[in-house]
Amino acid sequence: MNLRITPGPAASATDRIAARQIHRLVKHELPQVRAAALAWRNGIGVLLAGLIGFGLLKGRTDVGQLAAPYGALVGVILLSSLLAGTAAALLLLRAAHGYPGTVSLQSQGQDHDPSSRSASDHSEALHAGNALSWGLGLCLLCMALLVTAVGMTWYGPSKDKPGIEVNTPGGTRCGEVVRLAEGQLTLKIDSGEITVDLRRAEALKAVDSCSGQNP
Amino acid sequence: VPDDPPEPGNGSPSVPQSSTSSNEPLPFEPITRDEFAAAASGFIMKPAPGGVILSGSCPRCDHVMEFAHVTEVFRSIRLPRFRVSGRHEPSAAGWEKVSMMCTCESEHAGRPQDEEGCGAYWNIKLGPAQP
Repeated sequence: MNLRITPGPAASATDRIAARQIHRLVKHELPQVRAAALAWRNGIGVLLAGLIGFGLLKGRTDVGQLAAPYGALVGVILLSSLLAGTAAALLLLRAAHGYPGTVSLQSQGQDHDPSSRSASDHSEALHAGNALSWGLGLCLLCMALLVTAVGMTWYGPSKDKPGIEVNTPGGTRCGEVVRLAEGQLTLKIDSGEITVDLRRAEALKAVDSCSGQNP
Repeated sequence: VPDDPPEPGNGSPSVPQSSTSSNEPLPFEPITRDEFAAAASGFIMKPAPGGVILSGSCPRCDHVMEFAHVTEVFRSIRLPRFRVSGRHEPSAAGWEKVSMMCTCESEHAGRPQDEEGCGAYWNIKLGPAQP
């Protein structure tokens, strides 16, 4: 729609105050969004550092030990977290520093037309503010996904079922219990079934996993 | 006091000017006159996100100035949204009052540190070109 200007009603001191406030808001919005983006960038950096410290608490660290489909699911979540974090970092940098590149002098108000520079600054401030909002949202998403992936790795079901480890003079045997009859314990191992004479057993204990324990 | 006409092509029609001398800029003074609003009718409008930029020569000091009339500015973060730009449209009533002030960057004697321009202010009405 085309607009036109006509003289308005007589101005009062209140109108002057209103005009001054609006002018200041517009004039300072670009420095304000840059400063806000820098502050948020630093805050998010500290938050991420804290998250890394949280990862020092040891739990299961091998995704390969998770039962299907949890291993693949953790992989997808980690990839999503990486993508969200990368996009968030780029958006926060864009909000704080703008896009690197050249600009047309004519479009920046250097052609004796100051209005275009003002419009450009206002447009840049709104876009930077939008990038800041999206960047923060994606940062939080990245952290949530990261915590989910770590938690799922720690507490997700194991690929291997719990078993019994039996120490005998002939060596250690470990596997799932199949049956127990007349002092003979039958265990299921990777290569099939083995029978252990419990009368010769020296020690017996339950284990979370038998991976790599049988000779 | 003789008045210099505004420079051609700057968007302002000829208005009475006041100056202390031909070379010395006017001192700062918060002041409004009906002629200011009439002179500002010739300002150039350029689209900006959420509004328009009004530019031209200040009706009082004749210095180049601009004034942004926009519906939103950045203040703090908000929830992500999909669109930030848009052309400002007048209200349903068709016309809206816009309070303006001189925002020129030239020096004006006696201007407080937290002020801008020469002190002139006025109201205009912004509405559709076609009724």
